[in-house]
Amino acid sequence: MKAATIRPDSKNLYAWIAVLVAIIAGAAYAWTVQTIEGLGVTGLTNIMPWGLYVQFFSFLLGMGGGAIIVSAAMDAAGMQTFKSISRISIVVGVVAVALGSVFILGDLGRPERAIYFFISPNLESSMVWDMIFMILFLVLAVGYGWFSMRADLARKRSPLAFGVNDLSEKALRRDRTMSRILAAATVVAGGLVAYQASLTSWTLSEHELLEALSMRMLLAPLFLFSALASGVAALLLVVAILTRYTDVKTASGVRESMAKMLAVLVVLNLAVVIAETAIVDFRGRMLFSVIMEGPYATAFWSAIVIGVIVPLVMLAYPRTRRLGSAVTLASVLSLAGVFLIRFSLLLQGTLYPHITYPLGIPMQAAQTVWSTVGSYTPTLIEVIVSAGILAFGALLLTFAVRTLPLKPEEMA
Amino acid sequence: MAKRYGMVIDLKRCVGCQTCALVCKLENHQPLGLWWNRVLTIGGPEIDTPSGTYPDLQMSFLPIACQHCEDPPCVEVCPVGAAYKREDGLVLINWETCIGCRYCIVACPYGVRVYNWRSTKEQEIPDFQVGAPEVPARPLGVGEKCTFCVHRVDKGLQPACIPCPSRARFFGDLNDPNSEVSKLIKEKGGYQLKSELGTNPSVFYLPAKR
Repeated sequence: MKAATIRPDSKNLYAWIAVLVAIIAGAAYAWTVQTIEGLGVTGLTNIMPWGLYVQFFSFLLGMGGGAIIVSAAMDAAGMQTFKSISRISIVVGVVAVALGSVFILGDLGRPERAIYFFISPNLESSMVWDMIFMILFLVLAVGYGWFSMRADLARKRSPLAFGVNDLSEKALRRDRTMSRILAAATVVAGGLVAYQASLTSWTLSEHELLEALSMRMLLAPLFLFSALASGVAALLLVVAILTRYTDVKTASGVRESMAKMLAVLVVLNLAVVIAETAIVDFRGRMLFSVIMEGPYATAFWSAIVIGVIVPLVMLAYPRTRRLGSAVTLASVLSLAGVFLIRFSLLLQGTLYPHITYPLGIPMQAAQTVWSTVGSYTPTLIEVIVSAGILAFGALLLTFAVRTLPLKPEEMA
Repeated sequence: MAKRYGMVIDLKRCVGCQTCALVCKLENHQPLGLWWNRVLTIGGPEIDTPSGTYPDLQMSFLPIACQHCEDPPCVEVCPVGAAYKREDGLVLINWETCIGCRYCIVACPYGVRVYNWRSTKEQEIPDFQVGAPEVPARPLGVGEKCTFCVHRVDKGLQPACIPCPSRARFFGDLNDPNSEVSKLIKEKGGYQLKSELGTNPSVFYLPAKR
């Protein structure tokens, strides 16, 4: 074992938790300022009312759904190779999707009224379906995780077994059946949650798409492939961190298989981007024609190069693919690529108001009173709040690693 | 037949004086930096500037506020039902239940919804309620927009912007073929903004050139 391994008695563990708690505390302060002074402390305006928070919401739901889809599908099909990674993927998927809901809370102007999502939900609203699919996904994924870990939890005498300590052959068989059924259901829910959240954050969806409803179908592959790519990349990254710093180990060869899988998903993602560019250009000013010229063109195309093409080369080349550090770097780049591509698409959707005559739209911002075109840069408050929510996720992952049977010797 | 309140704005008569925008702002006690009703200039790059070169100049105005759509995208996307449409066609916001997610602002194709970005202390100038006492002050973090002056309409009055200095604004029942608005739309070729989106606004414009 390496010296840096985080053990129950390790000082490193407490230092790590202390750092995370400090970031969360900073975010709690920033969020309090935002709630008291108003969302005017963010970079958002009446032209571009959605930014970093909505982006993280959509990105994390896609990533969480994507992370679980791959391994749960393998699990439901009974493939043994991916067994060592399936529990980690459940934890990553559940934490990511749960964090997505926290980002929505962070985005609300009146977070104390979030209860109206349950009191008076409007089933016509895409955002309500985000919530429905999110809850469905969390229930199914937690159930899937519980049935696949129950026996090991019972052996550990963990309270998380909820007193179901029956280790008879019959009980184990029931666990296996239930976890397979729930794995299959989770795959479906993961797809729904990943696609639905992308659709909501797709800021053109409600008006431009009234003109071209078929765009929804064209966008489906883009959302799903980018969600799957980010899910597999996140999984690879988490596995790399766990292997380096904890006792959690995965079966040999799993990482290389996942790296190949990531390469395939990155190719598919690139293919749909190219296809969409071609298709949409025939329709005039839409999706990619704007992204090719607008202020987010640089971000978009750098993301394609750094976040798609570079990791693709690294993953396609067998020598680098077998190198752990190269795979980790490729995963980080793919994650950043998916994040930036989706972010530039989200922002360009609201960049130009539909009616652009002067004076334009009132901004209620100190710098600009009126504007006919949008501009958005996240403020420090938004960055700190986002960092805090992500740190909260890292804390949840840390507790999961400490309490759940993820280590090989804990798995029967 | 139920009433469907609507507005007709004659672009040929509008002189871009902004009176309707100001009256609306005072009547509905809009905070600093937010406007429910605006008069845009169709012409040059700035307000009150024409397009073209002298002597071939073109300039007209487009007063714009909530279009009170028959099929409003903002109502469709509101997750909690705080944005709603009344039987008489008025699209309103319940400021008691709005969660401030801004989905309606994203969805509105007319860009007429605004949001309370800043805390009320600094945004209320003057710092006492002006205009109609029935109009509630909006809390921080909710969306707001033109209500067709629902507080006046419910008393049988016309919206505050209707007494326009150049008589460009008309208000009435679109479902009544004999109402002033219905006749104007029919006789002078009233059209809706972005009608291709299928939102079917209750605000009609009479062309500037006719």
